Amino acid sequence: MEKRIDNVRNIGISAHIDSGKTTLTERILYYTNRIHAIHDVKGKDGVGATMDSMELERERGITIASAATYCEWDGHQINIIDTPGHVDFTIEVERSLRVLDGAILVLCAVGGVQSQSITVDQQMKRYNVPCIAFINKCDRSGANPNRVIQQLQEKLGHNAVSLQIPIGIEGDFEGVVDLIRMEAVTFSGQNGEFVQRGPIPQAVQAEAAEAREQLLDAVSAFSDELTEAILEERDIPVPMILEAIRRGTLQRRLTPVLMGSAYRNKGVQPLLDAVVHYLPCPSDVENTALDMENDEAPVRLVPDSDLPVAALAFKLEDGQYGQLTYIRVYQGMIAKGSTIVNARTGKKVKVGRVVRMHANQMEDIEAIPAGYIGALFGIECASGDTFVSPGSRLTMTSMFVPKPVISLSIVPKDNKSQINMSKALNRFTKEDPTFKAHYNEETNETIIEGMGELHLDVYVERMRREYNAEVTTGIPQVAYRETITQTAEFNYTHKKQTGGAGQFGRIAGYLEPCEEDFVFDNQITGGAIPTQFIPSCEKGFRQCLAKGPLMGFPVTGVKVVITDGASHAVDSSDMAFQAAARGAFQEGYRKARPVIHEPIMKVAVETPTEFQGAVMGLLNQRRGMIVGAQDEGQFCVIESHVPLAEMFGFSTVLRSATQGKAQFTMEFLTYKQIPQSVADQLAKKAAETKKHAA
Amino acid sequence: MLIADAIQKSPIRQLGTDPKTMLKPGRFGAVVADPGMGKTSLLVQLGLYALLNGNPVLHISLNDPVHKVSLWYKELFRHFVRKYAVEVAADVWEAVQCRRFIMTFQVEGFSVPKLRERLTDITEQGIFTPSILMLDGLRFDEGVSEILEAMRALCETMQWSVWFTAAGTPEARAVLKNDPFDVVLGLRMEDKTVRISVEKGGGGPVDLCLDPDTMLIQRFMGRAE
Repeated sequence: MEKRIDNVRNIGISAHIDSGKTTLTERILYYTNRIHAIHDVKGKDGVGATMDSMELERERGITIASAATYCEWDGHQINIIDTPGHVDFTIEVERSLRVLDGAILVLCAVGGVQSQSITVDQQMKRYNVPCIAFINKCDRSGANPNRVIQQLQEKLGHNAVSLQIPIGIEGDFEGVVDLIRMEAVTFSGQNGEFVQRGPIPQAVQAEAAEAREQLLDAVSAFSDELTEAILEERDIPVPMILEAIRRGTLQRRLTPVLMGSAYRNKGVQPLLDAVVHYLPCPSDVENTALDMENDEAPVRLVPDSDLPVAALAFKLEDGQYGQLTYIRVYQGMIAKGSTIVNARTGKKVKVGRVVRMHANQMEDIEAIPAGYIGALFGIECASGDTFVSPGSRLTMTSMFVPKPVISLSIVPKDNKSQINMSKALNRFTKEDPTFKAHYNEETNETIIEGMGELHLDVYVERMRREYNAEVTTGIPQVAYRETITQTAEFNYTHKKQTGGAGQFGRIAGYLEPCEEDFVFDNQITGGAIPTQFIPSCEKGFRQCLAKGPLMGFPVTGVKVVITDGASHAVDSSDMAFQAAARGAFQEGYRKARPVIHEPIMKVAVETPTEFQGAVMGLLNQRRGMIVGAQDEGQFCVIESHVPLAEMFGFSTVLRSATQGKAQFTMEFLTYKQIPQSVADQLAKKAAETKKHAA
Repeated sequence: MLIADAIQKSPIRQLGTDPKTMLKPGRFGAVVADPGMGKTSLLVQLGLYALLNGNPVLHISLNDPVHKVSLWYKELFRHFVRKYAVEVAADVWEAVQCRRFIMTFQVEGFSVPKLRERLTDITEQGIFTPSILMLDGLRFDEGVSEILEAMRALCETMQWSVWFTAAGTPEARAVLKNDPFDVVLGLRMEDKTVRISVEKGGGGPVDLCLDPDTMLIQRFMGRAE
C-alpha cells in the first residue's frame, strides 16, 4: 500500500434517493480500472451495480449498507463509502461521515436540492466534512444546473461556485466547459472512457467567460496572490486557482460545483480530478480522541503510522468467514499479527487477517496505516468501538445514535425459522445500532424496533432471504412514552411482617420533569437511609421506568430526588428498599400529572402543484401540522409535522391521490404530548388487550 | 412573567395594540428600508405579535425557503421569551405554529392568481384561514402596481390586511404614498443604531430601534457608545 498520506482521500458519496449516486460510484470504479464492465442499477442484464452487493438492494434499486471500496486515480488512493440515500438508514450516513474526510454531494439537475439533501448537509455540518457538489442527470428533460446552484446557495447556505458550465443541456448535453483551464471537455468511447479537451464552442463562449469571471471573483477571497494577479490583469496560472479553491473547500467556506451525467458517462473523470485536487487528505483534517486518564481531555490525533494506534470500528458485517469489521485508522498502524485493545471492553485482540474492501470482494493486505480505511477479520466488537495500542487510554468520541421510533412484532413460522431468526437478529443488532430487538414475555413475541417502516421492512426481508427465516409480522407499533408534567412529592413506607425476617424501608422526596431520560439525585444527609441502601433505591426507581404506571409505556424525563427516609436495624434490606422505591414512584407518579408522548415526524412531500390541495388535505387528516408550502416551479414541497402513528401506509395513499407523481421523505423530529382524544383511544385499546390477555 | 403581560410590556406596543388593528381589513401596511437593515426581522416580529394575540397569519416569502422563515419566527420568539423572562407553557409555541402558515414563491413565479389558487386549496378544506398576510420580498418595480391592485381586490373580498416589505428606492416610496397603504414603518441607520420610524399613519412618533444582537424591537435609549 502506498504510504504517502497526501495521496490518500477518504470520501463519501451522499445524496437524495434516486440522485444516481450508486450509478456514479459504478462509473468511478470503471474509470479507475477497479471493474471492467458497467452494470446499471435495476439494469436489464440483471447483474446490478457493483456497490449494491446485497440481492435486495439490486431488486429495489436502493443502496442499503454502505459498501466500502477503494480505487486509484492520478497517483492518489481514494477510499469510497457508498452511503444509502433513504432517511430510514441515516445511521449509515452518519457513521460514514464520521470516518470520512470529505464528501461528494450528488444532486439531481432536475430535482435540485431535495429534503434528503438538506438532512445530509446538516450531518456534514455536524461532522465538519468539506464537500464538493456534483449535479448529475444533466441529460434529463427539465435539467437546470443553474437553478440547482442557486438552491445550494439559498437552501443550504453554501458558497456554491460552479467550476464548469454545460455544453448543451437535456437531450443535447454533450460535455462541460472547464472554467479553470477554459477548455471544452467531451467524452467519447463506448463507456465515455476517452476524455477530449478542446476549444470552447462558439455558442457558449460568452457564457463561459462570464462564468469564469464569477468563479475567479469568488475564489480570490481565499488567495491574496490570486487577487493580486486579477487586479494586475496578469495571466492566472492554473495551480494558483486550484490552490485557492482547495483552501476554500477545506475551510467549508466554498463548495465547488461540477456537473455531468453519470448514466451517460459524462463528467465523471473531471469529478475524480476534483476529488484529488480539492478534498482533504487525512492530515488536513483535525481528528480528536478523548483521554480517559485525563478526565476525557481531547487529544489531537496525528496521522503518523509510528505513533500508538487509535482506530474506530464504524461498520460490522457478518460474512461467511466470520465478522468483518470496517475500521478507520486515525493514528498508528494496524498490522497483521499486532495486538490492539478494545477501549470499551479493555480486551486485548490479536489482529488476524487485514483486508481492503471492494464492494463484496476483498484483497488481503499487510497493514492499515494511519489515515486509511480497511477491514479486519475475526475481531469481536460492536459498531462504534475504539481500538488502541496496549497501554493507551484513548477513546474516540461516540457517534450520535438516534433512538428507535417504531416497533413491529415478529413470530417465526416454525422451529427452524426461529433458530435462523435469532441468528439474523443477533447480526443485525450488532451491525446497526438503530435496530433493536427484544423478547416480550407477556405476548410471547419478538419485537424489533427501528427508524421507520421501510427500515424494519428491509430487515424482515433480509431475514427471509439471507437466513431463510420465515416470519409473520404484526401491525407496526409506535414507540409511545410516558412522562410527568409537574413536581409531586412522595413519602412511602414499605413494611411487611408476615413471619420470618420482616421488610422495612421508608423513602421520601419528590419527582420532577427534566430534559434527560432519568436523573437520580440523593439529597439525604444524616444517614436517614444508610448509604449502602441508596443504590437499592435507585435500582427500585429504575425498575419502574421500563413500564409506566399510566399505560405501560417506557417512562422518560423524570428526575427523582430523595430527601428523607427511615430504616430498621434488622428488617431493612436491599429488597426492602427496592420495593419501597417502587411504591414511592407509583405514589409520586400519579400526582405528577403523567401524560403520553408520541414521536412526531418531519414529513416533506414533493408534489406537482396541481395536487397541492389534495396532499395538504391528506396531511391534515393525519393530525399533521402544515408548516408551509414551498413553490419550486412545476413542483411544490409541503413541509409538515405529523405524528408517526398516522403515517402508516401513507405512501400508498399518497401515490393514489397524486397518480404516483408525489414522493415524500420522513424523519424523526421530536416527542410531543398526544391529544386527549387519542389518549382515550389508547387507554381503551390497552384495556381491551388486558381483557383479552386475562 | 406571563406571555400576556410580556406582550403588554413589550415596546412593540408603541406601534399599536396589534398589527391587525393597526390596519383595517383590506388595507395595506409596509416596512421600508435599504437592504440589510432588518426589514424581514421587523416583519416577522409584527407577525409574531399578531400570532401571540391570537390572529392567524399567512407569511409569504419570495426570498427564503420555508425552514428559514420558520427559523426566523422561532429565533425571535426565543429571544422575546428570554428578554422578558417569560414563563412559557410548552403549548404557547405550539399554538403559535398552528396559527401560522408559511408559503414561499420564487420571485419571478409570484402572481396574485397563483396565490389565490393556492390559498383556495387550503381555505376550502378548512386547513387554514388567515386574517393577516405578511408578504416579504415583493419587488416594488414596474409591474408592482398591477400586483398591488389585484392584491387589493383579493384582500377586500377576503377581509385580509397585508404587511409588505419594500426596498427604500424612490419608486417604492412613491408607491407607498398612495392608497391603500395606511401605515408605513421605516428603518434607518442613525448613530450605529437601526431606528424605527413611522413614516405614514400609525399613532405618532415612536422611540424604537432594533437590538443589534437579537434584532428584537426595543426602546431607543439614546446614542450608542
